[in-house]
Formats: sequence, structure tokens, C-alpha cells
Amino acid sequence: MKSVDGETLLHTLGPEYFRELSTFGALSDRVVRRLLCEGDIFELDAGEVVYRPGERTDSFYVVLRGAMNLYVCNNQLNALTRPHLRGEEFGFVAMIALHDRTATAVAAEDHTLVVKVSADQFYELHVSEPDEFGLLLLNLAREMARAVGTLSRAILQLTEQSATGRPSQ
Amino acid sequence: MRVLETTELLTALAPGYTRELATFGALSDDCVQHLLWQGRLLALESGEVLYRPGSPANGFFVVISGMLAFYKHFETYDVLTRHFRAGEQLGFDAMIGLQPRSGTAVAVTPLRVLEIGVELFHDIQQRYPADFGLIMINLAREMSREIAALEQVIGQSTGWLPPRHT
Repeated sequence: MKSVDGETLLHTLGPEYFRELSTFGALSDRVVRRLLCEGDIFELDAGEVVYRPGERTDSFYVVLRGAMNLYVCNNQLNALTRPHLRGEEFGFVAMIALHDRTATAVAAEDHTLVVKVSADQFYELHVSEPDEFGLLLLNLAREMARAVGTLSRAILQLTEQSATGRPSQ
Repeated sequence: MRVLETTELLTALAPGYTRELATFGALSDDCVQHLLWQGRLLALESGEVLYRPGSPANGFFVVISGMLAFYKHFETYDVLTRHFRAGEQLGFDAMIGLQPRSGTAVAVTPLRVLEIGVELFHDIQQRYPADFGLIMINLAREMSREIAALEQVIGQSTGWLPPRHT
């Protein structure tokens, strides 16, 4: 896991690259710059782990490039719940629900880039930029809403498969 | 299902009742009052349907009192996935995800809900930006608990033993 400087990354990829990321949708370039430069950016190889179950949650992450897989752990059993692709967040669910990590976050591709946004940074944004904070929350909530739909469908398919003994269509 | 007047609701509730509702947690009194007066209050009897799958999600609902059951629609059948109690919201995920309703919401007991339409939601964002951030945190927290619960179900259904960490 290699640290990357936010200013350098902004200069290399350009502001329009970050405008297309769904978590940053409709945010001003100024606030995106702030999130990148005040946050911690990491470049990961495939298989590198960002966090594991039981670790304290004090931040969330946004995938800037590549993809992350999250494996939820229950009674020592691991299951891939869903991939998190470029522009999507991961780890926000645990941060906002105020619980420790329940999943293992693993880079799915080489050169995956993520930015870590701390709870302090999040709070500071709430206080200093309430309008932009509302927009960021709308983006995060929209992604969570889609996750609820995806996970519900997966459970219904598993239920049908379990009841009928054959994969859901 | 009938529309309630705000004064009728406020008369029926104990003072400060609405401040205890989780979706309104930490909101200013001004903002809560604005929601109660500008939103649509509905009263349902047990067994009455609030919405059905496929109907457009033009808003979401906060349960003021009573309980709802939600049946997720899947192909040709409906599955009871959860209950909603006082203070909880339902329908926000469809509204914010720009999806139609994905199931049937039915009153289990006599029920009072506040409907917050997209226009009112937008109005809150403009008039009360600080409160809007708080209401979004409350809604996100509720959704995050739902995601955690759903992920646990998937983990229990399909999990495997991991290799030992080195």
C-alpha cells in the first residue's frame, strides 16, 4: 500500500476526472480538492487489504481508480457481498452506523487508488460547508439505496434457490 | 386511508413526541414543524395499503405512530422483509435511488405516517441546509443498518472459511 500525494494526483488526472466520480457528483472542484488533499490517498495492488473485521471505524473510502471487493465475515465464514467500483464509497456504512468494521476490504485490481476520508474531516465539512455536505450525503445515500436493492434481490434469489434447489432465473 | 390535519395530530401527541422520532433526531424545532405542516399526514387502519410495487417513488414516509409491514415483491411472490415502527422511515431508498416502489407497505396496526415529497425534501435542503445534513445523516444511518443486516444474511447463506492470515 503506497501513499499518493493529493495535489500531485489532481495535477496528473485533472479536475474533470474527479467530477465524474459518483460520490463527488455535483460537488465543487474546491471541495473535491479539499477531500483529496486533506484525506489520505493510497495505491494498492490486487489482494492488498485496507481493513479487516473488528477494526475501529474512523473513516470511509472512495475508489478513485480500479475496484475493491468487500467480504463480510460472519461466524468465521467470508462472503463477497458486492464489488465497489470507481467512484463508489466503501466503509461509510460502518462509520455512519457507529460500529466496528464487519468486512474485509480487498483491492480487486492492481493500481487501485482510494482516498480515505476521516470522521473528523467529514464533521469539519458538515460545519464549514453545509450545502456541499448535503450534496455529498445525497450521493452517499443514493449509493446506499442502490446497495439495499442489490442486496435484497440477492437474498430473494438465494431464498428461491434454497427453496427450489435450482438457480434463480 | 385519510389525510390528517397537523393540528389534529399535534393535539393527539404528547408535547415533544416528534422530537424523539429517530428520523428527526437532532433537527431544530423549526425544521420539524416545517416538515409537519408542509408534509402530508396520513392515517391508516390495520390492513390498509400505503403503497404497492411499481408505483412511483415521489417521496418517503416517516412512521409517527403504529407499525407497518413491508413485503418485497420478487417475480410472482411477496416476501415479508421487515417491519417499520415509530420514528423509522420507509421509501427513502426508492426515492433517492430513482426507482419505483419495490414492494407493498401495509399497516399492521392503526398507523400515522408523514409523507415527505421530493419538493418538500428539496425545500428543506434550500431553507435549512444544516438541518438537511442532519436529516441525511439520520436517513443514511438507518439505511446503513439495513445494509449491515442484509450483508449478514448473505454471509450466513453463502460464506466460506477464509485462508489463515499470515
